[in-house]
Amino acid sequence: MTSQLCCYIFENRHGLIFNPDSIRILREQYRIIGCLTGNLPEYPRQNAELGLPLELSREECCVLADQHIISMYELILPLNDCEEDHAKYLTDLEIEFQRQKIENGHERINEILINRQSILQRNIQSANENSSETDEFTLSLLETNNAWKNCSRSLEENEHIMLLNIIKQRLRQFTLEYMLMKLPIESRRTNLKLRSITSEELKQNLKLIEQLRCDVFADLYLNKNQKYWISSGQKFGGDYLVYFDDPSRCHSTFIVTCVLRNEIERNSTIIPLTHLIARCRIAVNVNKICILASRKSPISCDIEYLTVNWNGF
Amino acid sequence: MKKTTSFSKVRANRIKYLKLFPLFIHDIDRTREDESHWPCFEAKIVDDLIMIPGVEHGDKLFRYGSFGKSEFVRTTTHASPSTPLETIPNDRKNYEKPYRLRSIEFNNGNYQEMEIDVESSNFEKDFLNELNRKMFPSSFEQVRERNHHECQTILQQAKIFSTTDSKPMKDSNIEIPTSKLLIYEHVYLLSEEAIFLQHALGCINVKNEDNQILSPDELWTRFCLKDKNFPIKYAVYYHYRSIGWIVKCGLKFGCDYMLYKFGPSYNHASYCLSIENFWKTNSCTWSFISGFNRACLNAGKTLLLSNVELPQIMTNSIEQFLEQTEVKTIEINRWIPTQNQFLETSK
Repeated sequence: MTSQLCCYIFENRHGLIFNPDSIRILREQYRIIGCLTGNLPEYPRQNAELGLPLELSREECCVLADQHIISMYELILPLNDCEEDHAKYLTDLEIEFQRQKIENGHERINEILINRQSILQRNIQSANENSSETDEFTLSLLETNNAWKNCSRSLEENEHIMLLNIIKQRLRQFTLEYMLMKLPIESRRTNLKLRSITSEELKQNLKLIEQLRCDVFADLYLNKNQKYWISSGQKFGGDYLVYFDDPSRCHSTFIVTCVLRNEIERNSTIIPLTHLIARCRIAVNVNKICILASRKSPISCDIEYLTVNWNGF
Repeated sequence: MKKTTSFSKVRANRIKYLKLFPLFIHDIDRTREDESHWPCFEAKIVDDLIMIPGVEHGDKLFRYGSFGKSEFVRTTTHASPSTPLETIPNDRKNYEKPYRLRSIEFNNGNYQEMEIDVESSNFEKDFLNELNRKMFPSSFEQVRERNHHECQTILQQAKIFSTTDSKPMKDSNIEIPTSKLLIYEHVYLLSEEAIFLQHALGCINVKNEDNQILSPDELWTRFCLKDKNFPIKYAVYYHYRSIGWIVKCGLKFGCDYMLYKFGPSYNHASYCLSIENFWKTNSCTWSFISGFNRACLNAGKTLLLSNVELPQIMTNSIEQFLEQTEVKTIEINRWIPTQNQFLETSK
């Protein structure tokens, strides 16, 4: 059975969710945090305000797909657009643009008229330079606008001209680029070809440490006794951060790092004492507990956790 | 690098006479010119640790170059002032006791010996026996007499070292009103420091448990047997010491070494140094180094990563080893994109 929440996989690694309702459901019902990675094209390379799409890590995608919470798809490229579809797209865009122009135009005129006292007082010094013709669009707007009709009866001649100029100025701003913002949302094309993906496909050709990370995530997420919220632990030098409640309500308590123990030969899995102390110190500085997670035996899926505490004497 | 802003004048004066190594050259230091002005410190290996038995030697090594670590006190040793060098201004005008007195206080009503469980380990039993003997002797008079006697012998020995120009010792410091324990404090050296002092500076003699003096190569093989990573660590230690940094152990920060500009008694460490050769599979992740850097920044230090390229043929001779090893270091800093204005594209 396929679920309603669609997740698109790119490069066999990143899963992106474009639908804001899906993101909300995942966060509220299924304790999935993910990471918002979208930006507006006008404000690139900023970290302060990120938006759609939500990126899910490979581990989250695998677990959610196994639990049939999301269904994963991959785009089949290249996309073939024929001429008719492209023309239809442009006409749709134009219709939408005109409709919004009229709506916003009315709103703007009403705004100006509400504030006309202060505008008139401010502009009484500046001379009226703009005596260009009023364009057709503005004229049609003004004819259908009730507020304008009511006001123009009580306005004097020069006030009338001044307000008209201001309205013309403001409405000149309504261009296509200004009105329609480019947001990364789900496409409404009808000719998209998708292929559904299973979690085994995602897990192909993984390195040992990445397999371990998937298993540790599944172990923590599907824990029956306690519900954990898990997010990325890169800020604190670990793999995962574990919360007891939604991250917007509390701080995390654990920093989990996955370590290889018995999958490869002994000498390369040694943890130097200084590194253990460094991990403890990082955790103590931020009031969290450092945990090392590893497998019990090379083949099993059981995970063992070890907490390391820093005591002062 | 954070600048230390709170330097008082006393400290500034002290740094004028700062020495990097415990060597005294008679032109500069105005010592007496005699044949034996090159110092020869004595060290002894006790319980596999290198200890300096003589209190004055330990004090000199600790003061000039921050070699070694005292047992109890972190930053200073309590020892007599170094009288041969009169130019060193010592703000402690009074006589400094060469030993550290600790008083064990207990309530007047609670005169009970510690109970010893039959099941506790041998170490615990020995410790408690010793403590009971020291704390509850047959009479306090005995303790006082014994302490007094020991102090007098120490002072007699100290008088032999000092010159005739020194001030006479005030006897009033010897009175011990209540029963106290005498605890001697020694300076312990790291293995890298011992080899450096012996091989590079040539100012120390290390004796092993049988009181035989060990040559530098013998010490080297002994340490390499104990710790197979020792050559790598020593290469890094030697490299930074000879440049002029004070290098101390960095275990409490999770790194291999801490680099100080003048010494731990003068300022905080500037750098945390971690040796890359010890980074195995489990630590080679981006998130670990980012977290490590964050912890170092929280303590106000910069992270350095050193890579040591060992020579292809391992030799047992220290000079050949040092000649062929290469140490490369990189400094890790944090880059915040929003704070670097010059990288913004013009709009």
